[in-house]
Amino acid sequence: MLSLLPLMQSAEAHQLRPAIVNLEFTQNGSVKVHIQTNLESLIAGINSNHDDTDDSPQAERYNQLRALSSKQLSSEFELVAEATISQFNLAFDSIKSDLSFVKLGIPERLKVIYRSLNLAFLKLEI
Amino acid sequence: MNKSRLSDLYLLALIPPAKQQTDQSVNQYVTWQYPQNFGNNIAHFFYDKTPLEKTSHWLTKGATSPKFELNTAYVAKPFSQVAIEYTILGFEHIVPKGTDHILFVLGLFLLSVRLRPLLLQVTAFTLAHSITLGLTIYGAISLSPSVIEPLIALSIVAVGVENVFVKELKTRRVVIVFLFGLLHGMGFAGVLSGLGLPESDFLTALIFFNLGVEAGQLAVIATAFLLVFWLLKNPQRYRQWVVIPTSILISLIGILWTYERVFL
Repeated sequence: MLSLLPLMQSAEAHQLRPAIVNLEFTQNGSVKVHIQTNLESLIAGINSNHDDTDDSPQAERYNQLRALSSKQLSSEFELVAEATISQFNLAFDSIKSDLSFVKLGIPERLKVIYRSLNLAFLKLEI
Repeated sequence: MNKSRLSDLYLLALIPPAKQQTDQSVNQYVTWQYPQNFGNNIAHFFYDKTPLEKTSHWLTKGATSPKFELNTAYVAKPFSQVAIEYTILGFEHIVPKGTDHILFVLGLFLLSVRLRPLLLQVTAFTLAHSITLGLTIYGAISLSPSVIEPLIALSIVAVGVENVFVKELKTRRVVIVFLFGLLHGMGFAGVLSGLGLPESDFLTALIFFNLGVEAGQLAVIATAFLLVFWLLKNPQRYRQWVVIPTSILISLIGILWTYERVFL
């Protein structure tokens, strides 16, 4: 029975799906980069060594970000946008190109607060 | 699993003019790299005029993509590479990422100590989820994740509960497992389509993803067997110590997930 406890924990955490990156090369000489990702983990800088976000040291920050509305999360991203974008490396003939920000689309938050209350309750039960 | 919020970030860069090539055979090339601390990524390279001809790379641990040569004809990835990549993706979707599928398969394992009931159940499950995975990916059927996900959670409750009350395989169980397999297949399809299946390697990717899923299931069963085989000689004790408590726990987790997926 005890062996199931780790499973229990990972059910609470939020598995990090891989980001989907579309690099579209257009005829007018530009590259449109569309990254579909969990922006919260991007901002919290959660390491890919941690498959479950609850294991990582930035978990607290991540959970904080998750609770934000799309508008609030967007402002959080603005603070780190430049630093984040500069870490993407799109290179032509090994020379890093300048990526500029176009726009951001964030869906409205899930009912994060209720969920975490529920999970705190669960932890007590165990 | 629990859905985290996915956002869309749009960026733009200009393609620099190609350097004067002294050697005509050398084309301008592009690479993409995404830092390790942001997680893994799947990069699709394509031209706006041929959006279906994607060159896709599965990049982990901050790896830099292979070179994508500009202005050259599209070359499909070698079969073996697609096969390996999607087998791994399928496997990872069960172990470690598919906690709900792991619990379901454990539920099947716990029903009986004999091999035949296990084989029949696993075959029914595999057949069913292969059918719906294929049909969903090809767009023949579709059901919203908000319907599928709670039902998958309920399927976990059902196998757990049945394990407590039923000791041996009945036809009913095989039918139920088959029906639940249909749901799990649609769940797999959701994940696979989210990854952006390469159009050119569609069938290869689909088949090997499914094989990876099977390998993941077998790994779960093999691990479970190694953990309990020393108890199997004493079926009564095995039932009391392992089958009943674990099945109850599996059902409880299933109930919690059903609740989460419906109400939260």
